[in-house]
Amino acid sequence: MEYLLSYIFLFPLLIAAVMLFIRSEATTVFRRLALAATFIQVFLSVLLYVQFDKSAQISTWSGAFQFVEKLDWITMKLGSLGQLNIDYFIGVDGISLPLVVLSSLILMIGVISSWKIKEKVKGYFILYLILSSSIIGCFISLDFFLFYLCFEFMLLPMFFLIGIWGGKRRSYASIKFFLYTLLGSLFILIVMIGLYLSVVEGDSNTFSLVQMMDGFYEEGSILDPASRELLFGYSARAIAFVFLLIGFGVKLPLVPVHTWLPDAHVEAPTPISVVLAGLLLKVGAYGFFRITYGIFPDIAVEYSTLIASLGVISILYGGMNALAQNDLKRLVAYSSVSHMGFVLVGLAAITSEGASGSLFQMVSHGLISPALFLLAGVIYDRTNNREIEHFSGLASKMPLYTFFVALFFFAGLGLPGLSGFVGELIVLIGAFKASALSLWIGILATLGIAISAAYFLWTIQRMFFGKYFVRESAWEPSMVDLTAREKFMLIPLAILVLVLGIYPRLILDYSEETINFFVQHISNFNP
Amino acid sequence: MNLLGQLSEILTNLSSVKVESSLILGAILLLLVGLVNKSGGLIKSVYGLTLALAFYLNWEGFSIGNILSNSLTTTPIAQSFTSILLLSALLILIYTRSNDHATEFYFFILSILVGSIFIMKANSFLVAYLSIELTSFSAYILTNFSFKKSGFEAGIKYLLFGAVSTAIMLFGFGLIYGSTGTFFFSDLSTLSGDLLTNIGLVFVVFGILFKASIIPFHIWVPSAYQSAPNDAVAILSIVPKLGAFVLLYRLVSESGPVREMISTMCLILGMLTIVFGTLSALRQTNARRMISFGAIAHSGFVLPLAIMNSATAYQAFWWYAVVYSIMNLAVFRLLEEYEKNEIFNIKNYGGIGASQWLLNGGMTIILISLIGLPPLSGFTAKFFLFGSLLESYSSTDETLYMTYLVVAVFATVISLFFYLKIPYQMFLVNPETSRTFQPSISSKIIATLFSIILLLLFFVPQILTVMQQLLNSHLAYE
Repeated sequence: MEYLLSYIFLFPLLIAAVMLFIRSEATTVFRRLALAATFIQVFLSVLLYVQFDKSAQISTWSGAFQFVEKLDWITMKLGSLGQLNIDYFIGVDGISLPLVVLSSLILMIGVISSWKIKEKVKGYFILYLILSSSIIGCFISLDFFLFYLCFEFMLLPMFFLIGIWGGKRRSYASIKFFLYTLLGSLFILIVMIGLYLSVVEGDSNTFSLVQMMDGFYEEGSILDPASRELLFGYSARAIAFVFLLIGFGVKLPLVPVHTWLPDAHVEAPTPISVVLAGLLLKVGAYGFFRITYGIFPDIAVEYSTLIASLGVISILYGGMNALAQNDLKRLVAYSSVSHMGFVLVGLAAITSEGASGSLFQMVSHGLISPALFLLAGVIYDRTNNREIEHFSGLASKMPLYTFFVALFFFAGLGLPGLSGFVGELIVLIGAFKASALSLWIGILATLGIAISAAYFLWTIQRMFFGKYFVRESAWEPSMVDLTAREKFMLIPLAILVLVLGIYPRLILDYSEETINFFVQHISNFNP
Repeated sequence: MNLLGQLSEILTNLSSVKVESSLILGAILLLLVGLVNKSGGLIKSVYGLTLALAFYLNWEGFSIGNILSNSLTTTPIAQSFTSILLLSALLILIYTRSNDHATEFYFFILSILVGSIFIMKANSFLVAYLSIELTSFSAYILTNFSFKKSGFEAGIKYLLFGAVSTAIMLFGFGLIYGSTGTFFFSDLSTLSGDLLTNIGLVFVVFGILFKASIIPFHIWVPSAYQSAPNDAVAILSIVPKLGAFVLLYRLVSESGPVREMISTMCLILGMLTIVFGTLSALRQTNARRMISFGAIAHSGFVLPLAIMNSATAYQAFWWYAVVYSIMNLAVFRLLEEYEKNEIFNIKNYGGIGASQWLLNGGMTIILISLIGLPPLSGFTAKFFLFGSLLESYSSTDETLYMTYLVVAVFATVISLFFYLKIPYQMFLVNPETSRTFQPSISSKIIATLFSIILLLLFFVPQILTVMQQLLNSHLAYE
């Protein structure tokens, strides 16, 4: 399979194009086509996972990637910028591989969860498939322009998916989401142009992320670390780093630019919440790995305390907020803010443990949070209500549902044996080991786990234990246990959460080489 | 003085003004045809053929340099931009226009064209002044061509502002001539930069900025755009504006020691234009008025490209101009369709999205291109703009470029907010009353075609640069 990555990337787009020509009345056709497309995607990414050579030694970033495809895309003369070269340049390494596999899986579960969409099915699935392609594209692009294209192109489908098929305040939420992320991505755009003007391949400027990470700077250019260019009196590289911090921080999301997330999550239809929490947040985190840390290691080392503090603030603030929520979906949304904070703490540690834990936490959260949103969707489908106070004692009426909620809540709060535990544990080991970080970072992050235990356990106690009660008697007849379709979505996630909890090497073995090189590359800049 | 020699020089030079001559002859023919036959079809075909001929003559190229006793300068940029103007003028045939007053309408469009092409080629102050007046007077009349009271009001407003600005410009010419004795743009590089000539130059730039609708000379724009017929608006927002930008480009590149002052002034005014244009657009309730403010902001985006004077900026300028013209032609054409169906205000767009997705989808794509999001060519245009600004900053260390970049970025975010109002109403809002809405087939086709063009230019941006090279390859350098 020579073009395996391209198939994974572009297949959904092809199906979306086919869908354009199908009558919009044929609703089932769209569902089945989308399911088939995502299923094939899963199959291909499993193939990718199996064929990936995990033992390949890495000495430069240019040798780190496998399944590389490189084609000329845009070549044009552009004044004194010389040749404008944009390549169709894709490939995976140990960091992006787990995320590609995760994405295709979550996207398939998203399609199954979309079975209940009744209105404008055609538009829905076309937008959904465009979204799928651009998410995968983000994880595999090795050309900054291509990455940016995919990064930006997630916004529009997402805007319409939330805005048309969302809940009551959907238009507010979708505009807010769009504005926040657009602002963030424009910051990234500026850095991208700056990098293009500074990085060379041969004798022409390039968008290649690989060249940027390997640090082939043109002498005296604006972002050349050796030239220490100043911008408004600050180091140009530090400004670029902060821009990226904001840009990817919005996506991650980082407190205080996280406020779009609870609204978007709550108003989005269940499948879109699943994709949003499972994958879009990972795109932000991946941007930190590949671009913020990969290209600006010198500044990253300098700012590690700042990054770690921002991570800790996200953990604590997100957790506290989750504690205060009455809406189940909102609670899960804030728990996402909290858990993504660990990714930053792990990165800021700049130790192999920290970075591995960070990546593992991304995958683990990518499995747990979709499941949590699916579970919140279960109760919403039945009653059109998600207020925690309106339910009690559900365990007696819906035992299987209770089991899954408990399982994923425990995974979320980090019970040993489940994937959440492994991720948080390695991150904390990394943080405590890091010489650059104060001990307080680790201690406060640990406190975050205690908070998550508090809100998850409290929710279980309020909703599932005690005497059976639902607020409206009209809901009574619909309070049935999980349907086959819901089980079909939750069981694979549950299995993966368990398997990764017991045997984390499924991820760590694949990422080890890359992560070691990544950390070594950054620590070269340690003062 | 050898009269015969002069005459033969004029005759040889005439081949360099063949485009303008053909347009003028075409305009006269149009009037004659209009006298005999009032059928719209015939007039439109005369108009179209004239433009096609002019386009061909422009394509064929001419010699570069000062001609007709230095009163005109032919430059490659004038040639490539002339082709944009001619094509835009040709494309307004996709708008619907009844037979009433068709002769006059197309006649005035042609005269705007002639004026704008002369603006781009003017070397003598007098030619610049006359050509600006020619475009202005035709534009005043076109503004009033919907024969409504509001159009009359807008026309008067436009006329008053226009008269004042051209008077200021004329005063500027007088000051320069009085203090230096020169009458030509090409002599500007020798100016010493004393106070009087500087003031004169600033006044001249004011006159140009008026045509380019840069703050504070933009006040006529919203009401003129709102009340003129859509095809006239498309022309007004493209033809004189680009003509003025090209003149500004030449003025800055030829102005020698005073360049710094002019470019600083233009950059500051440009930033104000972007800020004001986007912020005012936010408050609009009428769709066309909102897009007019958007067009003002777009002027602010083009402005730095015209004055940065680097090779990158030169190409970015061409790129932005072409894409801007495509987007404006498309958006005003589609607005015409909506207005025909009594959809004027943004609120009226409520809930019409689902039924006519081809038209509404196309409109959405065009609006998103106006914001400048990938994968549409509006993004590429902005991308080149940001690239040129960053490049200029790193080569000159002038912080104004960096500030401009930051302003442009924030304005892009804000522009999302207002351009998106229309798709938002179309798709996200449930209508209060269900309306029947039957757009014409041609509108749907146009919406689709323009969306495809905007997408295509993003994925294959080479097309435009190759086109520019192809155009310029026919020019004869002396």
